[in-house]
Amino acid sequence: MKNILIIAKKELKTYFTNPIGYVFAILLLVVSIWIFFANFFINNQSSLSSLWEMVIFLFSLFIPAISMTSIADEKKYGTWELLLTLPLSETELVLGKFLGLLFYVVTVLLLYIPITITLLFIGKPDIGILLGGFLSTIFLSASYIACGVFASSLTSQSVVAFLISLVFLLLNNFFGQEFFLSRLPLFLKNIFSYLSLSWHANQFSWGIVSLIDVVFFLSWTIIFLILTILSLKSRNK
Amino acid sequence: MLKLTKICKSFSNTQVLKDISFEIPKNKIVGLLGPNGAGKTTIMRIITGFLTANQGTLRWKRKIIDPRDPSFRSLIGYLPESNPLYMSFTPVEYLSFVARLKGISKTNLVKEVKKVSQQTDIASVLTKKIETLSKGFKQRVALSATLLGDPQLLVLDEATSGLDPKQILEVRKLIKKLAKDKSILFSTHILPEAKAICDQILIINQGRIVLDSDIKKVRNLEKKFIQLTQ
Repeated sequence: MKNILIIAKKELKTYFTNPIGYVFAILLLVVSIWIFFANFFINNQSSLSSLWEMVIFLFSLFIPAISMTSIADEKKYGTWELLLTLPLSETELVLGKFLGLLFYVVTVLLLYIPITITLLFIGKPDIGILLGGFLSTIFLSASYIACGVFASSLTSQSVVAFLISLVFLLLNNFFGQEFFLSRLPLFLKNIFSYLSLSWHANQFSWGIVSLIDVVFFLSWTIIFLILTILSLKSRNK
Repeated sequence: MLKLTKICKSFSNTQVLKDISFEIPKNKIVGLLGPNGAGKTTIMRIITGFLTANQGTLRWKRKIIDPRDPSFRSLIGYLPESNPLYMSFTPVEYLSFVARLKGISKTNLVKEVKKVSQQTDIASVLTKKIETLSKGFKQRVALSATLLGDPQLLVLDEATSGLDPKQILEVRKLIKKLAKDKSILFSTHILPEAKAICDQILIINQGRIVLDSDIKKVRNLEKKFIQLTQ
């Protein structure tokens, strides 16, 4: 556990001492808040659901961008050879990377708290829906990060890692959209919606917290972390 | 101290190491020589646990060991050829990060970083960004990380490549000094360098050891090297 935290701390430090970490966070906030407030007074509802829907979509761009270097750069600069010859296992390295990224994303999500407080002052929002929105975004982030770290472990080129996870997450997001699902026969609609992370996250953001959704997010995260560990171990072949 | 017996390694269907056997005695510098692609780095990666051998055994003080075992890894200091460093870190941040992963406690951290930075003479640049340092200083920072935790075996892959003549002499002097209480496996392309600092020489060609000898017993190393690696 100690090694995992050392790696996580190092990752977190990299994002907070690098201008890119701030640029991504500010861009995400500005775009999501701008689009949210563009319709907020027209909708006349004290709810953050539309903000979370926007954040879920933007995360499929934002998370590949911040996770692309996580392992690809270690490979590119040879530091993974140093790390994996220290008393540190592949599992500790991957979990450290994952946790560092998750802490960073949760910190960015905390920047939405002022909007939540504003909403509490100007209306009477459903607290369950507000918390569900935060929770779904954290679960979704964990799943997206696991996917991004896996893509980053496949190559030493961070741009390639970005494109792999971007295409994968955008497609996954697309499969959960109603305009796509409504064109499918029922059994295919059920399969595609079940496999879509954004579809599960939207259930949360409407205040419906089910065990199936939680298990889905956790399974997705664990599967991709295991794939990342296997990808690192495949250097022997 | 460390003994390799009949180590074989293949990638896909290509065998890159064939029955590699040799020993690194206590407090000796063993020079690993060979042309590009001979298998020097693969041997070093197997010793340090970055790669696993398909066959063969490694013995540390006569006991069979798994190089991936964290307790064995903490006895080794490895300097890869690529000289890996985090360019946005300062040497003190980098060394503290590596020290923590080597299991050095927070209370001993400052003392340990100070000790290795004095050994490699980098105390004057400890708080500068690594990206701003000269190649010689970068090499010394990487070497300092190798020395953290007082490892008993140093595995140095092309430790002097890219350095200017003065820096090469300094690094050689340092390696000689370190060999007083450590065993060292040192790979190089430069034959005079092997002659200058090694006690024992290994020449590897196409994945096989073709010479394993005391350096004093080898006459005309250049000629021998050309003969054996043709």
